[in-house]
Amino acid sequence: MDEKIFVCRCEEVTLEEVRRYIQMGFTTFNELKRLLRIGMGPCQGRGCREIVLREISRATGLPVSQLNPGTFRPPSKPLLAGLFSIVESKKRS
Amino acid sequence: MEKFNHGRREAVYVITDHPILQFSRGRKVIFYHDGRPLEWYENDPIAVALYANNVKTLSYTKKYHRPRGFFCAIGKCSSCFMTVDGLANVRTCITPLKEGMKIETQHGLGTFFQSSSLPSEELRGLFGFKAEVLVVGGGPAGLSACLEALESGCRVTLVDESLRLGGQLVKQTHKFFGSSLDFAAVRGIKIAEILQQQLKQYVDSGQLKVLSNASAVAYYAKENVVLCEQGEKRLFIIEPEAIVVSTGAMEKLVPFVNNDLPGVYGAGAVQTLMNVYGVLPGKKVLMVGAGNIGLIVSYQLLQAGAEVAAIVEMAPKVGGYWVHAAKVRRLGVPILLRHTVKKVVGESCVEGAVIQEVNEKGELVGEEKFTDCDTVCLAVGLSPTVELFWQAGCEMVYVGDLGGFVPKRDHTLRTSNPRFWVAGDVAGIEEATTAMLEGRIAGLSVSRALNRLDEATFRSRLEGYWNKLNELRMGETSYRVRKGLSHVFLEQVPSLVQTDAGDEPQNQFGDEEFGSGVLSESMIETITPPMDLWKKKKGGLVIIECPQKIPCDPCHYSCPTGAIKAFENINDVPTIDYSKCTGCAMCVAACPGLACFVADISGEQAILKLPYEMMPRPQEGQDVVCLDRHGKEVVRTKIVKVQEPRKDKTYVVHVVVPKQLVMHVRAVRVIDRG
Repeated sequence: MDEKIFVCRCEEVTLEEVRRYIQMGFTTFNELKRLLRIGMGPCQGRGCREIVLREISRATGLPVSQLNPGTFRPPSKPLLAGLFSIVESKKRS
Repeated sequence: MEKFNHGRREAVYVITDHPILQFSRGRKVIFYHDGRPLEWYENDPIAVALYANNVKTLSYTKKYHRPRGFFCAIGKCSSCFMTVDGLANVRTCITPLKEGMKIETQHGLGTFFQSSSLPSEELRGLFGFKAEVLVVGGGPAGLSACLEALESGCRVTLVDESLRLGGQLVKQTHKFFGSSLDFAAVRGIKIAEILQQQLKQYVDSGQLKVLSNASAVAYYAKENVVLCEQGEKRLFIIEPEAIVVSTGAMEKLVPFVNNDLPGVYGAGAVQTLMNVYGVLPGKKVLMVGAGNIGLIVSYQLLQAGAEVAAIVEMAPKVGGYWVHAAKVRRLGVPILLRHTVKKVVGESCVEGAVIQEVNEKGELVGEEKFTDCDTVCLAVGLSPTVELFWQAGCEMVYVGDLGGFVPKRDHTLRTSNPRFWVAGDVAGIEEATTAMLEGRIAGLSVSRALNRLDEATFRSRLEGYWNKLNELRMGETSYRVRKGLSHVFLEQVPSLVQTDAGDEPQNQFGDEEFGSGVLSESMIETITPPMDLWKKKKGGLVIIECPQKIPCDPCHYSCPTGAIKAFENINDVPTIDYSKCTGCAMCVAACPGLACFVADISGEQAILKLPYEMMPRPQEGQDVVCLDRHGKEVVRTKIVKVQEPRKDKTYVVHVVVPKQLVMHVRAVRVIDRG
């Protein structure tokens, strides 16, 4: 196996990629998310977010507490789209 | 342990005999893994069933086709996705095994999707219902919040992700610290049972509705609905008047080479596997992190029959309770301070790890050392699971000392969104005893907000809970929690809450050995009983090796003669009136840190009374190896007597040793003739 270090397990984004993109000037979590899909996998950033923020902090000198951790869109795990499929015909009780 | 060997596959270990636990397993059923029939017990999680059959790789990733196993084993990280009965992306760590299930290794995203896998029509559609109080997460905080709200008359709905209620309590085999008036000296597994017992009447009366194996996956603020998913196959929405979020936390990942290989697991996953389902994660484990979790899980691994190759810790001293470190040191587990894991070696699963020293800045220095191991267990801290608060628009704050982003709150644990309360690890990483109190506070505050309580009752209970919390947080290792808490309140720190952190505690015997759980020579002198009395005292005198201020008092409460004096502050180290000590060893059996010992030197040879919680079970006449505080063999002898004073599986074994060794021998290993 090669020497990749994964920051985001779900989308298989490496530490090297994250650092390279931060160097290119993408210093917010949301930018990195859009470019690398980091945090967009099934765990929705539960594993990678903090590591990425730490890297941004190291590169920009801003403490993590001052960084935007990105948007937390629902749902927080993959759902079967089919489950929504007959919503219309059911009335909420 | 029994070798569980299926035909030509390599044997793995299924725990059949455990010093503390008995595994109540269901019916054995046949299921299929990639078409191959296997056997395991119904209703255990699929991932566990596979692991017991030596299947560690659950999927191959979409980009680099890397083998993947589970990581968190509590439904949070989605690392355990497989295709089950044609349905892709099923979290196999929290989906129960059923007879005849067809489980397939998933490649990438899986195949979408076979018509047979569509849920039946009656399961589809968004069923909705209202809830007066919704509690999300059934761990110690959530269950306590339920209890408090139920006692005040609220109607409560509890949504919990796992198959069994109790959160992480269901895997804690160690005895809890804290106050004997609450749950000190009771094992976590027992606490989970007690809480469930207390909830039962409310379930029976219909006041509490429990939805297990259900995840709250979204909150929509405008509509005020929580979207929940149950068993991967059913969706429903809940409209709550009040929500207590006690979703706990997830193990932090560490970036190193091959950190995603099957065999690299979060400590919680290791506990789930071995303590809930009785399957050993591996035979030789490298533990990363010497906080309480790393230390406790290392001890539990030894109890389950695994070997712990080493514990590596970045910091210059252990972060967890000193007594937990002492427990594993005396059983021979090395704790390497200022060390970390650099990479894991292996093709399809862990075959070893490379560790390296780090300097004060955290940079890798020195020589790379290879450690032989088949499992790497990560216990480097937890991240609060806070998505619902973000979605609810709660004001959030990043507090490193509490594990990450947490919601701001008032002194009743209500967040800036008035419908949301927070309790437990999701409010800041701490431990179960404080989580239960936080749950109580949140439940109390919810009851007050819903007018189920009058102001005076509310006030007095609130004060009571805060007093206990403040007391528990005054110990040495809670320094960071106190510091962290000073940042989490919506307004200034409320007067009920003590967060005064003071300076970081320095250990007075600051050498490296002490920092990793071994008493220094000068320290030993201070805990040695007074010689004139000791020589004469039949039955012996107590020796307590508890040098750190932690919130704990069972030694005092278990002492029938008052020799171990009452604590003015629960965090004080114990003080002893030797004239009252009879050497009865009740404290030896009660101490959650296994830090009490009795030595009788009145006779020809010395008798040591030591706590013992390992396999094989001790018996009179057995040969034992006596170990010192480093786990080194110092002498071989026999067990002359075995007691189980509390009938809780902590034995007190009496061994005869030469007198000059009474201040050295601190553990025994039974020589297994079987």
